[in-house]
Parts: sequence; C-alpha cells; structure tokens
Amino acid sequence: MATHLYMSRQRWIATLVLILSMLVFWWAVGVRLTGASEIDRQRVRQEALEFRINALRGQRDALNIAEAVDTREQIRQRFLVDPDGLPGLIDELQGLAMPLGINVGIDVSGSSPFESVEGVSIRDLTLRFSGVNYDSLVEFLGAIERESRRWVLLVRDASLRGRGGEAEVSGWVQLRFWTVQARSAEQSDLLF
Amino acid sequence: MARELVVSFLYGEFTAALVDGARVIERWSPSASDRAHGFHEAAFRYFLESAVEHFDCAGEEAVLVVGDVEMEHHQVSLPPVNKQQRQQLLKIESAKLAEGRSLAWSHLRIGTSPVSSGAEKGFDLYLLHCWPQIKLNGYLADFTHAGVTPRLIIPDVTLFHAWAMEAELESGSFALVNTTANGTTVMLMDPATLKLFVRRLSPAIGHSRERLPGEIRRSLQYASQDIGLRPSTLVTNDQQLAIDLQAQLDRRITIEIETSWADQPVLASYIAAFSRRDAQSFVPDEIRYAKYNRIINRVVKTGIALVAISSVITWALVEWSLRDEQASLQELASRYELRQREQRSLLEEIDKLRGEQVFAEGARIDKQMLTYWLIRDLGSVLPPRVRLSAAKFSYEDSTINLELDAKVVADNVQQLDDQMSAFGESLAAEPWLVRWPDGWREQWRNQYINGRRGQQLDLEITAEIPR
Repeated sequence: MATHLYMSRQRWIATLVLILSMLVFWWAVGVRLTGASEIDRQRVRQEALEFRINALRGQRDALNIAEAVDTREQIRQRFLVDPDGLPGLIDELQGLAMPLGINVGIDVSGSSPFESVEGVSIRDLTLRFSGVNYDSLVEFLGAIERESRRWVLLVRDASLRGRGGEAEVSGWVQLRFWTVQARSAEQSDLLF
Repeated sequence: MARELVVSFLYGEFTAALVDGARVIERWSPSASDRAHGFHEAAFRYFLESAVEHFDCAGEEAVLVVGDVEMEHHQVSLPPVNKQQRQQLLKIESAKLAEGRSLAWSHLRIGTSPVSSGAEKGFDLYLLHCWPQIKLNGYLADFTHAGVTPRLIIPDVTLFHAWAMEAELESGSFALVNTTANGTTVMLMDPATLKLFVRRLSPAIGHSRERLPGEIRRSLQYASQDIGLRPSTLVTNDQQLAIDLQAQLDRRITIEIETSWADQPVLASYIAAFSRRDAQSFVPDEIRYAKYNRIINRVVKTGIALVAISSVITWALVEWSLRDEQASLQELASRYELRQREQRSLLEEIDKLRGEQVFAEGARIDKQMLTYWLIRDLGSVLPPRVRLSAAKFSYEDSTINLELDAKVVADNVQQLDDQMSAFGESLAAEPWLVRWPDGWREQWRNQYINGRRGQQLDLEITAEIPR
C-alpha cells in the first residue's frame, strides 16, 4: 500500500489543466443555457406586453364607438363655431342684457390651460348687476344658459340679493368659459 | 496480501523467494551451472531473469535486499521536523558524505534519542544508507531488463535491524554476524541507547575465511573501547564460525546460531519497516510508485476521455435543444423597447381621449339651463308670506350648494311652520331632490319661533342640490 501518492510535475499540470478545462467548459455551458433562458424570459415578457397592448387597444376602441365619438364631435363643433370667441360672447351678453333693461358689468379673468383636455383653456367671467327686476334677471340668466348651445360655458356661482325695492335684485353671476385659441375650422387636428 | 518476488543479493550471492506476506511460498537459487557465471554483479541480471522466468512474475513488482561493500551506513540524529524538511536535511547529510561522488541514499528511522545517549534529547535517530548512484542505476536497469518493477531496494543492514526488532533482542546489546560465501556483515547494536556499529568483511578486500574470527573479535574490541558497545549476545548463521569464535571471545558473550533472518519473519518485518512513512528505500519515487502512477495515468486518460465525450454530448444536447432559437437577446430587447413605446403612446392616447370624453359628457347641452330653471321655479314654490331676499349658488362638480336668505312676518307661527314643512318636503321630492341638512325642520323652527308675533324675521336656509 502506498504511503503517499506520487505524481510527476507534468501529471499535476495535466490534472490542473483538465480540471480548469472542465470548469471552463461547464461555465461555457452555463453561460449558453443562461442566455437561452434569458431569451425565453424576454419572450414571456414580450407576450405579456403584447397582451397589455391588446387590452389598451380595446380600451381605445371602446372610447371610439360611434356614440362617444358623436359626443366629442358635438363639443368640437361648438369650439369650432368661434374659436377663442370671448369678444363675441361679451357682445352677445351685453346684447342680451340691453333689451331687458339690465346694466351688466363684465369682469374677465386671464386665460389658463384646462387640465383635463389638452389645447383647451378656460376663462372665468363675472357678471355684476344691481337694481334689476327679478323676472328680467331670471330671463337674462335663462338667455345666458341658452347661449351654451353656441359656446361652451357654465354658470359656476351666483349670488343674488334683494335691495329693499320691489322685486329688485343685485348681485353677481360667475361663468366659466371654455375656449380654444389660435385654432381654425380648417385644422383637422383641432383639439385631440 | 498478494504474492511478491523477493530477491536477496548479498555480496554476489543470489537468492530469490516468492512470499505471501510473512510466508515463504517457494525459494529459488541459481543452479551449479548458473553459478558458473560467477558471484559478481554482472551475473545479477542473468540470475534475476532466471528467477523471473522461474516464478513467472514478469510485469510484477519485486523487492531487492542488497549487501554491497560499497554501501555505507551512518547514524544521523535530526530534530523533529516534517517530512519535507527531513528529506532536505538527510540530503545535506548524504552530500557531506559524498566527497565528490554521486550518491543515492535511503534512510530508516530507528527511534528517538534517549537522555543517556550522546545526541540531543528528543532528536530522531536515522540510519542513513549511501550507495554510489551508478551502482543503483545498474540494478534498476537490470530490473527494467528483466521486466519487473523494483518496489523496494534496501540494504541487508536494515534487514538485520528489522530482524533484531522482530526477535525482541532490544533488552540488551547484541551482535549479529551474517556470513555468506562472498562476505560477512557484522552489526553491533544497543537498542536502549540506539548505538549501532556495522562492519563488512569480504574476501575481496582481504578478509579471508581464516581471518574472520580475529576480525570479528577486533570489531568487538573497537566497539567496546571506542563507542561503549559491549554486546552480551552474538548471533550468527554460521555454525563453524560460532565454534571458531568461542575460543577467541570473552566468556561473558553468549554465542547463538540463528538462520531465521533470511526467513519469513525477517521479510515480513522489513516490509513493514519500509512501509512506514519515516523510511525510504533506494527506489526513486517515480519507479516506486510507477504502479500507482500507471493507475493515475489510466484514471486521468479515462477522465479526459469521459470529460471530452460528455462535453461533446452535453454541448450537442444543448445546441440541439436550442436549435430553433434564432433570435438574439438584443433583437428581442429592441423589439420589446419598440412595443413599450407603443404602449406608452397608447396610454397617452387613451388618457387624452378619456379626458376629452369626460369633458364632452360634462358639457352636454341637456345639462345646462340649471340656474335659470332653479331661480325661475324657486319663487313659485316658496310659501306666500316668505319673501326671498338673497340667494347664493356655489357650483361644485356634482352638487350646487344653495344658501337662501328670506324675510317673513310671523303672525301665525303654527301656520308658518306647516307651510315651511310643506315647502321643504316639496323641494326634497322630484324634480328638485334637494338634500336638506339633518334636523332642518328644527333649525327653521328655531329661527322663527323665538321672534315676536307680527314682527318681520330673517330666515337662513341652506341645502344641497344634485346636478
């Protein structure tokens, strides 16, 4: 029985080279398999992404059904009637007030972008009046709201107060006016 | 244990034995005609060939016990060191003895120096054997020629030492005298103090048979006077020599005749001695472990072959399993990036569309006219005696907060309370669906119940109208 194992230097070197080459080989196999599994994982991610994209396309198509498009088209047309129609609106409001014997003071705020829809800006208008007959005021307010068929506007706040006289009212009404600036009807991509 | 060929070649006398451990299976000595080749080293090759042929052990391993006049034996003490350092120190010791010659050397550890010995306490004592390298090479070449591998080559002194240990002679000092036709070895030993004296006597250097008893006596005198070795027992294998010695030696020395050191116990012991880690024979490692080296060779070659084959198979399997894989990771990643951009643009598009849709829904014309309708109809549902003096509308996203100030003359509180309850309930019903605050009746009642009869009172009414 050998008391120790004799190996020549060449044999040790050969053994070392053998072990190293084994390590290198299995490392190379590992790299190859890792690369393949990475590709496979990437493919799974790609499929998941395709699925999400298809779902998003479905959501987009749902927003493009005829009814929704018609609703949006209507408001487009209202914008397109008179882009940035602030001067026209003020004239119109004055024109509505005059026959009813109402003196209206109109304050206009600066234009600020509308957060919900890109390309649309908003202006707040405050209509001040005093000593107005109640019935005339009601008619005037009704006329203002009817104007929203042409312009996109909404009464935001109102404060009416009697001033002692017979059915005379003073106060203010605040309107919010949505408009588009520097647009024209010829532009097909007007808003969206 | 497998059978093994053991050859002793003591001063030209060749003996071969096939042993199985400690048991001698068969002995072989050259025949008279073979001896015609002479008792010298040149005949060793021929004798070895004949023995190998006789025992049919070509290709196997063999052990050689050699006695040679040119072999030197020295006792060396070394501090306790590891194997590598021990080899270095012994190599230095052998170099000191070389005197320009090229020496092969071997060693046997014979014990640790006791307190009483001359060497330092705790030092290991070794028997260092030196032999001219050219002689060893000659024997190795003879083994190669005969087709057997030398497993061990050891001097006869080691053999005798091993025999003495086996024979349990260590109780006192003793002398061994081994006589052959071509030479005599005298070994004096004291196991207690580890003192050792070896002398070779050979006709080739003038020690004829007639002079042997006198030379042995002189050796005993020298050992007694110079190194303090006084053996009480002398063991020899030669009966005539024992008779001759009896007349010359001191009467205190007992003479015994023993031949067993050339027999099985000796072989077993020396094999055991040289299997120890602290002994080394003359056979170089590359020959001593040639058998294991061959096994390693086979293992390594088989390993290389297996690794190579399994590597090729593995690689082929991997490539076969990936044969349909054409796409690279970069291509997939760029494709994924493109689709991610598409996803982002779709999300932006959906976000814009949704915002637009919500806005368009909220701005539909049928949801307008609320203020007009509210102010116009509010007057008609108020009780007759209540006059509206102020109205404030705050528009929230889904509701309108309504604050009304009214004036009333409370001449009949019970009637007014009934009318106000009817007013509140009519506004809470269709189409108004006004949400009054909790306890609205009590709030209103508390406002006009505390006023004096016939006095004009102010009423504050708050409510919430859904849009």
